Amino acid sequence: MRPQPFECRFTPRSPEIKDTIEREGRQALEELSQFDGESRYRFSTFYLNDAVN
Amino acid sequence: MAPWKHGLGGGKGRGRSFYYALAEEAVRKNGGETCYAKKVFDEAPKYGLTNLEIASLNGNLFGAGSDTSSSTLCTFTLACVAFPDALPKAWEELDRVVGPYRSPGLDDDLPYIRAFVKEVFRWRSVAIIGGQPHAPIQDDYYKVCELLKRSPNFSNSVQGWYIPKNTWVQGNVWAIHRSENEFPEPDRFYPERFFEDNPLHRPFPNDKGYMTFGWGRRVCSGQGLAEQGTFLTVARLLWAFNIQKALDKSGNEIPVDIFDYT
Repeated sequence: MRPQPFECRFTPRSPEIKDTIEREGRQALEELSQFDGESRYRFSTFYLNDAVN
Repeated sequence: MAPWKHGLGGGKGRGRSFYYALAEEAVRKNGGETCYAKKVFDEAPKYGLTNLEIASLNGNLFGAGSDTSSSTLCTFTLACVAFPDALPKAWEELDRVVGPYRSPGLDDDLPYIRAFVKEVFRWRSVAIIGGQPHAPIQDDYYKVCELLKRSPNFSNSVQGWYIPKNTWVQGNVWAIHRSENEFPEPDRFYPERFFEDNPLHRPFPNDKGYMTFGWGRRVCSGQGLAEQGTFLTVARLLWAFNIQKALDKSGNEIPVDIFDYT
């Protein structure tokens, strides 16, 4: 189970922490970019195509 | 049937399934590099895996590894918003051990954050009826507990509950985690209850202090992964942010409902 949507606020706890979040975020995106890619398959259409084929 | 299971092809011999196709595509596009899907294909002959089993091992990453962890993080956020008193102790520990110039990692000694994560798992567990069903492999008798013996309706002819072999059995995690005996004030989000010297601490049958991932041979296969990932994310979100109730146009806090669950 999970909560129904609710509103909330996320505020960086200090300017130093905000800088660290952004620096580490950029680094993570760079390191993870090796996994960037796109699948040719879509769940919503996979079996429709199967039926046609 | 659960929607994600349709991707397994239902075992009806349609020739291919969504998750098998994804795994096959991942290996093909990855140019021979080691990855999870390649490992499954490489090991398949050794273990005699069928295509349905390969699809299932791949689909499990979605069915068990994605929605469960994200739901847990929604629960974490709701707990922060509803129980703001739990946050300053986390910040004190994180500021003392980690500081502002790096985010926390798995090697940091953060006992309060560990307890915070345990309390997230206990307070609102994702699989509240214990996940996979169980069944006894032989006839079983579950002993009548002392509490029932004190009931006015109790008769001495009751020997216990007879549970025939192969009966479908679920563990009621929701009830276990909200039992006043083990978790006083169960709806209160209170990480300190996991410290032995706390007045609300109670003994529990296992070391972890919760049963969120099930039991025995059908215990969650992703427990270790989920515990690590949740710890890292919770520790980093607490380190990074003050998480509070939203404000309406007049600047008043918008309340949240800790029972408003799907």
